[in-house]
Amino acid sequence: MTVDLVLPGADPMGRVFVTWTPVEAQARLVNPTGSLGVKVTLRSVGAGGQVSFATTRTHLGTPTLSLTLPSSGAPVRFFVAGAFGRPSVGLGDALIEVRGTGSVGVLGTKPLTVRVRKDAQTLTAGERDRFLAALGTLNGGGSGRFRDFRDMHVMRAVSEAHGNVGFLPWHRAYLLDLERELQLLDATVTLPYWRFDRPAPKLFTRRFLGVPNSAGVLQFTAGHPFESWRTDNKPGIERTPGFLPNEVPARVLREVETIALGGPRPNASYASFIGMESNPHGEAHMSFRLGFINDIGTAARDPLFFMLHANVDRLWAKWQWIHKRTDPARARAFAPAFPNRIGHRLGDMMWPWNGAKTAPRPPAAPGGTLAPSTSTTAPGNKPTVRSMIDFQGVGGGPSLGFAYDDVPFEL
Amino acid sequence: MDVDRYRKRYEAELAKAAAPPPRRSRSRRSAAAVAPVKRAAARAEAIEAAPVEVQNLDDRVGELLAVLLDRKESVAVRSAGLQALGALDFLGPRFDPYRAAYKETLRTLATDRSRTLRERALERLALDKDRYAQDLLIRGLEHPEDALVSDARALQFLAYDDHAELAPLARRVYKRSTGVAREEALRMLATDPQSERLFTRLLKDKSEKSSIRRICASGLQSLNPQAFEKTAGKFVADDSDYDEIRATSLAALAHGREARETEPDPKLVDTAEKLTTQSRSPALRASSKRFLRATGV
Repeated sequence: MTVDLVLPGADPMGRVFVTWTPVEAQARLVNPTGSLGVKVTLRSVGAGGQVSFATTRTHLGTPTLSLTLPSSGAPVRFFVAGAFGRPSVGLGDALIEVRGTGSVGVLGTKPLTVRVRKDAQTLTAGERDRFLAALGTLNGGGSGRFRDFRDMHVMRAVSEAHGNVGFLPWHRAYLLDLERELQLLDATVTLPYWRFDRPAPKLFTRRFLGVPNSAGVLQFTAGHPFESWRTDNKPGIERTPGFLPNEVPARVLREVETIALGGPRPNASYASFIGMESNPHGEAHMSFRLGFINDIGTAARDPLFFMLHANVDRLWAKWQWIHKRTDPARARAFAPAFPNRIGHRLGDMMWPWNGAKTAPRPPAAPGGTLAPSTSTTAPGNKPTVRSMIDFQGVGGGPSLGFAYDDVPFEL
Repeated sequence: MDVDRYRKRYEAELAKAAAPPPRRSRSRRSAAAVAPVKRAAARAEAIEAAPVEVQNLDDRVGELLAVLLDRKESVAVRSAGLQALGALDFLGPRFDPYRAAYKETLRTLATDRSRTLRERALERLALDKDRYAQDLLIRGLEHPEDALVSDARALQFLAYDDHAELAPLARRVYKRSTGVAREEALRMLATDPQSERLFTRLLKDKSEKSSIRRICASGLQSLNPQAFEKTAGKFVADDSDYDEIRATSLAALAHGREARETEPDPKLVDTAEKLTTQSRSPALRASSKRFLRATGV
């Protein structure tokens, strides 16, 4: 007698990835030895990531769950999610163990990975190196798929992504697209974020994001995947910081100050929160005296740009969570586009994933549709502004398949 | 971690932060409002970018532009102003009404006596492919006595214009320079097909600086991937060459698109396999492993 566990969203190699959002799973008896139901306990026993269980969709899952499985082999439904605060550090290091009562012992196991975005300063060496290798490969010495991501964030497309209420949803889709491309190369990779309101000395090293020489050209350890980094036909990355590696950039709003931009509860509104586009977002870009990152048109040539924006997105996610602003139907969860600009209204499909190339959209739509994910169906290949808001599926829909280490799923 | 408890803890953190700060305030003070304050640091802090609303953008930009043009003001304060304006520039279309005045101000700063301000202004103008700034930069490269920024920076800034014909200038800088200016010149030449022989020669030259050879590895790979693979293959197998450059070359091959699209050289694969276990250099071992993974071995 064994127990078969079926979790949704397995990739072609049978690997399962979860975030903090509970997903519906099934357990069923295989080759039962009697005609009565069998009582079993599910346990999270992984050496790395941990999961929690529940019989309903809730954020109050527990590390164990008792179920009675019918001898008919009919499946019993339960929910499983990453245990908040206990993400994986390696592939399949979370483990569900199914035990029968008494001497029955272990009836089944299922490895999975609790895959969430983490503070880059806290990554293990392995996590860091896998991320760097995947991004280096995506760049492919300037001729890889990364070129599309560089071409999406250019001045001729500035009105799609900046200076309007769709700033945050557009960049959320953009990061998600990039992260999914990285995961095609290495499924364990997520996009780390740069907490620009905290010192991040591990980031600004030759092993990670490079150290500038006197001309502001980043230097890396020999063999580093970014040594052959190339964008716009030019090798190398230019970035001169205006702060020391163990310092916090001056003038960049701290996290709690950013969250406060939306105003106090119960009236906290997106219309006010979007003021974060200038600070901390713009100020974080400008905390570098010189280099690609301090201009909209060139920022995407620097890998740090994506980690900076992952933090901007995390701040939005945290604001959404603390103020419960994940329902797009609620007025304060979003704001009207001004002046009714296409691409920034809730129902609009976003460029370039929609393929639009006629004015007022830019004349080209690089990169095609949004990369798919094996772990979720959302948001589809032509994301709308609306589809970016409830990224964890708090309202009951599927999540977008990503989460942040410090932003829980909460109903 | 208990989510409910986590929420309470975070709410307490927000409440604490919302309490009036004892010293440093992030109120929306304008630069003009604190002008009487004597200390430059305090004035620079006062320029910190407050949350921007459409209705106060006019005033805010006007004040900041005035600070930039005030030559009596300290460099720290004017730099803070430049940074704040740069942050507002990230508002894209919302900043458009101020772009012309911003550009004019930057052109004035391009010849300021402060090198810091000159550099920042010239970079921003060069990003915009501003002809006035490009002319200043080219003049500085041709007549070093007129240079407003270092040769290395001038080349970098000029390279923001994809259509600039920089190869002749870069070759001249390469010949007359040492240090980072020479390296920058080589980075410029990485788009110049006529520089392939130069890159090949420097890459093979064991007496050349490691930083130069590493730039040449990337440059040659871009100009002629097949030639790079052939050259790199030889010195990756050469135990007498420096581990650094061998690791760099293997990593370039691993991450280059060619590694995934063409059959790798069997000799190179053999060498990489040996290096994964026999090399004493962790960087070379790591690059070898990455190369083998990338080529599907």
